[in-house]
Amino acid sequence: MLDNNNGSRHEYDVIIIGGGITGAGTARDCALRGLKVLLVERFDFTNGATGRNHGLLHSGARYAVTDQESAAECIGENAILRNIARHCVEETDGLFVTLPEDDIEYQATFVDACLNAGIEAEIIDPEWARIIEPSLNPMLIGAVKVPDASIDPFSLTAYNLLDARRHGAVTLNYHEVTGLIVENASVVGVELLNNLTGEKSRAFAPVTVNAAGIWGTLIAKKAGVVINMFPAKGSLVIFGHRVNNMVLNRCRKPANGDILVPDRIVSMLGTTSDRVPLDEIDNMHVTPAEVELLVKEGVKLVPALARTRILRAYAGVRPLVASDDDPSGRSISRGIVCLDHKERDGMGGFITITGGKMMTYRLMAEIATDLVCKKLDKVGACTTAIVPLPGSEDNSSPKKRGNHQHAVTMKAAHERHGSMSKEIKETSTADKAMVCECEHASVAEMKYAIDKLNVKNLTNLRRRTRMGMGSCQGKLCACRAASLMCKSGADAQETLSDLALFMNERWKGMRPVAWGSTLSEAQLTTTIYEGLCGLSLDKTSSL
Amino acid sequence: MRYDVIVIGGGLSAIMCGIALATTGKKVALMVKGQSKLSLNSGSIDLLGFDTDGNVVESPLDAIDSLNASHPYSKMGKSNVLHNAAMAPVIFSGAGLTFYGDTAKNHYRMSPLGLWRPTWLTLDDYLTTDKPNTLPWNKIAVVNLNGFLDFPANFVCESFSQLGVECDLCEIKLGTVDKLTSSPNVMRSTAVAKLMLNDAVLNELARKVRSSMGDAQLVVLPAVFGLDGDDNVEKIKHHLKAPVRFVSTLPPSIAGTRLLSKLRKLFIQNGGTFLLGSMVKNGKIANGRVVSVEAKNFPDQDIVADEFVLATGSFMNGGLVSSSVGIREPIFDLDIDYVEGCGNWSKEGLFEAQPYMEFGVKTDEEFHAMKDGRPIENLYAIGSILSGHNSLKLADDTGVAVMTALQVARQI
Repeated sequence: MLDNNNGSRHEYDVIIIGGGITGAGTARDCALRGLKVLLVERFDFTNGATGRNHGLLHSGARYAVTDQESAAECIGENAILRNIARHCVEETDGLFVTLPEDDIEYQATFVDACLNAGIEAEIIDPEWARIIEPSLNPMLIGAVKVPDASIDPFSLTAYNLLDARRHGAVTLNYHEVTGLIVENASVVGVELLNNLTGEKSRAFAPVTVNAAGIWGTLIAKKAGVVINMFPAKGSLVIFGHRVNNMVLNRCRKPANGDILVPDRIVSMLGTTSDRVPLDEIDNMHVTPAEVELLVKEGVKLVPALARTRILRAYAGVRPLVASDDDPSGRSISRGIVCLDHKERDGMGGFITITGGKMMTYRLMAEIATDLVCKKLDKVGACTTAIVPLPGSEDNSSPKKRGNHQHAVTMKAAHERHGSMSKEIKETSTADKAMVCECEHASVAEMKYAIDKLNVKNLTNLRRRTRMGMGSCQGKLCACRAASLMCKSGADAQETLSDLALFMNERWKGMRPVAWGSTLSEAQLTTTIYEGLCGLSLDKTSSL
Repeated sequence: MRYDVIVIGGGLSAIMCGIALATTGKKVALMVKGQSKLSLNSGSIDLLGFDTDGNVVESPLDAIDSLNASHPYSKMGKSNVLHNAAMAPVIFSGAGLTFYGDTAKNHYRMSPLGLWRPTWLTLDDYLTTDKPNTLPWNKIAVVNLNGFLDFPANFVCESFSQLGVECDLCEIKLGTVDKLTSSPNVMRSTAVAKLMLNDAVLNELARKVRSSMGDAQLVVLPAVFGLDGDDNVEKIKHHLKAPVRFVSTLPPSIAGTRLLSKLRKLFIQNGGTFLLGSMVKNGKIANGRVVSVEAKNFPDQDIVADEFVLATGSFMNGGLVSSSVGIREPIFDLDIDYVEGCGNWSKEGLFEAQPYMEFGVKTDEEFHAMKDGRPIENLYAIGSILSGHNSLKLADDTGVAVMTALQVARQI
């Protein structure tokens, strides 16, 4: 990986920039096709848009009327992911609901478009819809059932990466690309900065894939390549418990606040869509006005949301790309964009894969990997549509293994890690103790994640195990997990700082909704961590 | 139902006020809804730990002069703080609680994360020091129970090591505990504290600690002792044959339970009444006076008293209720000190001084609660529901609870 100027310096066949689902999927595909892969991510995996969306396994119905191509892509990938990533998917099905204020005529247009795109769409009786989904607004006048589902972006990414590593890939989080090394009009490598240690290094490969989402425009710029991207902020609100069984949509043209996705123990309401300037993409804040807008619309679909505690609000940035012949950005595609910069800009060894959505990550990875192979003159067929991810190899339900296993933590671990949960060894009484009561995560699961899933801090651990994501937002489990990090060899002083940062990060999502019970919870949390424990960001309260 | 005084609340301020009133012969009832902030107690009562600039306060009494005029201590005046600060330890010792500490000078308690915090009074079997930079021990044994996650012993050890004190972490695995607990998920402080009431468990713990503590001069244990009286505290001290100190755990706090149960006993001895499970819904106000209150568990009954004390706490206790448009006191709809616009209630950093911490019920200088701009002559507010200070930044939460409780009791 290090700079090596003489002889064979191509340590890797391909370098992938970006640790979101697109990068992770591309790393897996390349590795499965026998390429030597390096993936670099500047912060943690899933830190960008991958960790900040609905977790909706689209059927494609949402796009059927406006974008048949995207809809067809979605339903194709939907069927594939239900198979290869089954442990990340909860098969909920979805409803497209017509309310009295909506045009019922649209329903027919919608169903036709779905069927055209190959999406099963069944009009059901509104009364029946209320029975299968009791949370619905009882005033509904129409409902269409579609194969939407819920998917866990964190597990999906973690297990794409794990499989890539199993096939020889090197995946580095906290490694930022500070420069692209260009020789003879070709990208031949990357300059790296380790964001944890400050260490600098270089890595070389004949092909570099830019899979950095919205940040891809900045990566491309380092090679002097211009990609016209339009950052679109999407805000979401998470409710403190699961309100709905099925994915719920409004049966109308896509608009703000009209999707409610159940995600294990919570429900997520989204989204908004607003252009934001490129220099703000690292600092997305949800405004009270956005929350108000989302909740106002969400309550129409599910009235109980008006009385449900809001856990937190967050925003992601969609990487929308303007087509090359339209620099004004008026015709923006939500489809997949794969750019061969040799053909487009005369810059060899450089590919950008962007646009699209989480739902089509596998297809994007396939397209990008095909191009990588073409550039490397390698022949290799894509198998990612068939070969299941680690954890999804079999669809057996968790079995009780030994006396130390607890049904509840075992079930939860199986939901997160699928058949990989057999690697979670609850060998002693202490190992089966529950760290996070909201998400039922045990000590053994924490140890497994720390050991196997690139965990360097508490936020990494949260994304791998969902610790601290439930209704208490890390009230006690963060402290317990910090203690476990120490036991696994982390420095105690650094872990205390990490704990303060972790709680601060949890607050960031609570603050836009800090009233009612969320404010009360925040006060309880700070009373525990600052009052009782004396924790602070700069530890001035310690002596 | 008729009482001389009704105290609404069951936390530290309510019970202290109740005791002070009951000892003067008043017929007092505490209307208690549920748990209080005592379940987050550290084993200490803080008077004033930090000044308004965030500096550690050496002498709380000296620092009171520098507090803002809105602070409850400023409202009652320094001489009253002094008076109440002298009265509180008398009540505590009457309840059988022994505290270490001095009003003239703060000492330091160790937090569950091993951080030292300035405080006023600490239960005398909890770990404290007068000088957190130089500890009087060379070797300490920190004990934890295998599987007990709510005592982050690594951080406690680290704190000692930082000061150059040799520190052994003894993780004790108890066979008796494995037998008694079918699931580790019940290993929370209260459950562990219950286990420690079992003599066989206690003996096994003591034996194992003795064999692994070496020549440690001090044994530090998680604060899971004294759940039911001080018997097992004395027993573990006796068995270990070495100085023993407790460090508080993550909630629920056994110290809080100890405080509450002893203070309750004293209150009842003095003729006080507990109305447990009383969710007070509303109060009847006529001619600037509270006439009666109504509670969920006493439907269609007016609970009448001459004087009323509101000790229902802040947001986390339900004493204050917020929505995106404003903040209310739910029982009497009292006047609230707060700033308009929910965007102004908080700051971006969790550990910044949060404006909402200073929100609370408006009172006059004598802690009469205000409604429609006028004080209600027989309704007082005490404890965390009061506005005008940030109890996290000043480390004065329990102090304000005790001082305002005793002040109002004297006024009544």
